[in-house]
Amino acid sequence: MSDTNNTQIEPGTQVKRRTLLRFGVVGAGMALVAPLLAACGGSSSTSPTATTAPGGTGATPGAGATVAPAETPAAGGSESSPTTGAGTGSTETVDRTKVGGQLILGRSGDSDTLDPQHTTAAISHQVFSQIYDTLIGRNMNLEFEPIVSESYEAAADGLSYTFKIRKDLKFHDGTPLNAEAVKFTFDRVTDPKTAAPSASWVDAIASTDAVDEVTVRMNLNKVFSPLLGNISIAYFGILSPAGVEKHGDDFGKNPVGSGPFVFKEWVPGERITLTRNEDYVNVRSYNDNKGAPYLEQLVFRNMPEEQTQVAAMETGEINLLATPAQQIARFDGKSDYTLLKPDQSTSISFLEFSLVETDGKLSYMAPFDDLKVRQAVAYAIDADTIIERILQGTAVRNYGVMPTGNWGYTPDLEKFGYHYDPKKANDLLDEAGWTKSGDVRQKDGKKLEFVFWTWNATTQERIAQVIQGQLGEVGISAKLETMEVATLLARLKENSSAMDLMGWGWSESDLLFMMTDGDGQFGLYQKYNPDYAKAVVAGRSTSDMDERAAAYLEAMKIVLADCAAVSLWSAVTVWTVRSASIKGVHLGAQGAVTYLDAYQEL
Amino acid sequence: MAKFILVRLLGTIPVLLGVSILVFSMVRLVPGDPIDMMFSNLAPPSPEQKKAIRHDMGLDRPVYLQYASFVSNALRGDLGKSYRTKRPVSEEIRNRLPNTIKLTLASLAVSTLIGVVAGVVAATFKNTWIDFVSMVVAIIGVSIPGFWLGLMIMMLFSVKLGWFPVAGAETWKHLVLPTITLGVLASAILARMTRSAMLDVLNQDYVRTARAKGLREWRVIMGHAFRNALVPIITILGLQIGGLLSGAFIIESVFAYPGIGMLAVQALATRDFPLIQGIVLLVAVIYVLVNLAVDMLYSVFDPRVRNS
Repeated sequence: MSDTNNTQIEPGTQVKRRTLLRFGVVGAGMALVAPLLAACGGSSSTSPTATTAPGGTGATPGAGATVAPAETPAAGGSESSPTTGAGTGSTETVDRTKVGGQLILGRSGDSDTLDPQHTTAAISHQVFSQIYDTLIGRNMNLEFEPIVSESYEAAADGLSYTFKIRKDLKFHDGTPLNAEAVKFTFDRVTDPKTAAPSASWVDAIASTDAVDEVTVRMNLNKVFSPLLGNISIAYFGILSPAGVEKHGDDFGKNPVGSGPFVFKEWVPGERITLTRNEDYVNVRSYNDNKGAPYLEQLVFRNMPEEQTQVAAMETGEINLLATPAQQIARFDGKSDYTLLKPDQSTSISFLEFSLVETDGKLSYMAPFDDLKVRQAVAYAIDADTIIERILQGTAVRNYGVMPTGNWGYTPDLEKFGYHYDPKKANDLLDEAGWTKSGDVRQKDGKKLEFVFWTWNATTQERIAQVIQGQLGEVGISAKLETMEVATLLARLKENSSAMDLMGWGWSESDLLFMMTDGDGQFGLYQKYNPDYAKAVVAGRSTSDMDERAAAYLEAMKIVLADCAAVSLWSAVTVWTVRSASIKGVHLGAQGAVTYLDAYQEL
Repeated sequence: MAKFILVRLLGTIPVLLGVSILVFSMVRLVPGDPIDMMFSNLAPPSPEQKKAIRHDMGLDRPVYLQYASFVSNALRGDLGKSYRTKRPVSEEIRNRLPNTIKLTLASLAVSTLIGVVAGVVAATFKNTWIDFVSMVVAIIGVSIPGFWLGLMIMMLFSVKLGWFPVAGAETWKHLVLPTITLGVLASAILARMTRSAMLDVLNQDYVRTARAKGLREWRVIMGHAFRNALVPIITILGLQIGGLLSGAFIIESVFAYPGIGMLAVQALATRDFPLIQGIVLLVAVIYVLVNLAVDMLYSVFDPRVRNS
C-alpha cells in the first residue's frame, strides 16, 4: 500500500458536509462540497487537515515508533519530501528585507467564533488555524510531523500516546506553552460542559496527563487509529489557558494561541485581521521560511458575491481568492495572476441512492432496487466532461469514495471503477427488462423515471442538469428538483427522491466510516451491507497501518460491487494569487495554502 | 394632535404583533431541525445531547409558551442568541445597524435630490424633450435589477476608473458606490411620483391664480405648486425608506458592505433563526415608525389633516 501515498498534496481542510455546506453556500455556487472547500480550503499553513500516516512509516499509531522531526523519512512515498530537518533549535532566519505588507484573502462568509472548540465551521478554521498550532501536522507526503510537539511515541498496545513538547514555546500572551497547557486544551475539549461540537472526534481520549513540564500522555479508551489525524486539525490547536481564563465566554473573540499569526481585530461581517508573530519559529517541512512570517498582516475579508470577489482581485483590494469555477478563465494565463491548482482533495462527490426500510429490511428504492439499473447510471455518466466543461478543472476524477488526497486513497481503484460507457449502460438496462420505447424506457407499463435532488447553487444545478441529460441519452428520465441546501439536507430523510448528488469532505480516512454512519441514503450503507461495516470498523480500530489500508481498499471495492454510490470526483480549491503584488504563496501539505513564505515586494 | 398620535401609536401594536407571530411561525415551519444545523454531519449530536440543547433553548416547551417568552424577551430588547455565533442577536444587529442607517440615509438623500428635482423639472417642462428624457430614464431605473446595476457601477468606478473601493465599509469612500446604486434605483420611482403629483397640482385653480397675479414662474412652481405636491411626495419618501432597507439586502451583499442586509442574507443561508427573527422584527418596527412619522408630517404640511 505504500504507493497509496504518492499523493503530493491536498487542499483541504476538513469539510464536513453539513457545516461546510452551511457556510459554503453563502454566495459561492460551486459543486457540492467545493464551495465549502473553497471557503476553508487552503486556509491553513498548518497542515490542518489530516489524514493518517502512510502505511509503514514510523508515524503509525500503536506501532511503538518514535518520530522526531529530523528523521521523518519519506517512507515509501514516491515524492521525497522537502524535509529540512529544521527542529526546535533553528534560529530565526527571517529575511528582514521581506518583512512587511499584507495578504488579503477574499472569502464568502464570516467566521462564527475563533474558539476552535466551539465550532466545526471550516470558515472559522481557515482563520484560527493560523492562530493556534497543533501537536502534530503533516508533511507533503501526508506523514505526520511534529509542530508543537518535538516527537511523540505510541504505546505498543496502541492505548496511549506520549508527546514531548518543544521547549521554550510561548503563547501570544507571553505565557508558556507547556504540558499543562496541552492537558488544559484536551481536558477542555472533552469536558461535556464545554459542549464542543468537535468532541466526538476525540472521544477516544480517556484522559490527558502532564507527566512533567514537557511531557504529555494521552490515554485512550480504545485503539482508535484516526485520532492522530484528527488532532492534527486546528480544532484541536493548543489554547492559552491564561487566555481562556482571562476572556471567558469572549475567548472566541479574543483568541490566544501560539501559531504564526496573532489575532488583532475582528470587524464583524467585514474582516478579521491577524498580525505576524515575530517570535515564531516555524518547523513545517514544506516552508523555506523557518522563522516568523514575513507578512505584517494577514486579513480575511468577507465578500459574499462571486462577482465582488473577482472585482476586488482586479482592483487589488484582495490578493488571494479561492476561485469559483466560472471565474477561473478570468485569471488563468493572465500575467498578474498565478493559479495554484492542487491535484488532490479531501472531498468526494457522488450520486447516492435512497435506501428504504420495509419490515426491518433495507432496500434501494425503485427503480434502483435492481443493481443493473444503478450500474447503468454509473456507466451513463461522463464525469470527465463535466469536470472539464462545468467544473473548469476544479475537480479531479475519482472512481472510489475515498477523497484523492486522503491516506488510503489509491489510484488503483480506477481499474475497478465504472468508466463512461453508454453502450454498456444501454445493455444493462435491456438486460434488466427496461425496453426502449420513445425517449424513456419502460417495463411492465412503468416508465424508467425517478426524482433526482440536489441543492440550488448555480454550478451544482448545472452539473445536475448535465447528469440529467446524460441519463436521458440512455433512456432514463431523472426529474430534477433543486432546493436550498439546508432544506435538502433536512428533507433527504423523507426519501422523496430516489437519487441525489451529494458531497462530503474530511481529511481523515475514517470518512468512510463517518459518512455511512448516518440516517439516510449512503448514510445507511453500513446497515445495508454488514461486510462494508466490518471493513470500515476494522479501518478505525487497527493499529497496523497495512491492515488499515487493506480494510479501506476492501470497503471501496464493496461499494463498487453494490454500486451503492456513483463516485464522480474530488473537488479541489483552485487559488488565484495576485502575483503582481504578492509572492511566495504556495500550497503546503494536503493542498492547503501556506502563508509563511509569502511576502510583498514593497 | 396628541390624541391623533396616541391613536396611531396604539394602531401599531396589532401590526407588530401580527408581524411577530408571522416571523415566529415562519421559522418554525421550514423543514429541518435547527439543532442539526448547529452540528457537523461528521460529528452528529447524540440523542441525549440534542435533548439537552433543545431543553436549554426552550424548544421542548409548547409553542405558545415559546412565543410568549419570545415576545416578553423582545420587549426587553432580548432577541435571543444567534445559533451560529452564540452571541446575542441584539449585539449582532447593533454591530451592523449603524452601517445600514448611514447607507439608508445617504441614499435617501441622493434619491430625493435626483428624484424630486427630476420630477419637478419634468412636470414643469411637461411634454417637452426634457420631460420625455427624464421619464424614459426613470422607467429604465425602475426596471433595472439592483444587483446588476450595482455590478455595473462597480465595474465602472472601481475596476475601470479606480476611484472607489469595491467592498467594505471602512471609510466614506466605501459608502459612495452602494449609496449611488441604491439612490439611483430609488430615485426613479420618486421622479415619476413627483412628476404626477406636480402635474396634478399645476392644474389647480390656485396655480392659475398665482400665475394671474404675475408671480414669477419659479415662485409659482416652488411656492405654490411644490408645497402642495409635498403630501404625496412625503408618502412616497416614507415608503422609500422601506424600499431602501430591502434594497440594502441585495446591494449590501454586492458591495460586501456589512450592514443588516448582508447580515440577513447570511443568516438566511445558515438558517440562523433567532437572527432572522430579530432582523425581520427590527425592519418591521422601522417600517411602522417611519409610517407613523409620515402620518405626523402630513399634519405639518396639510392643515386639513391637522384639523380633522
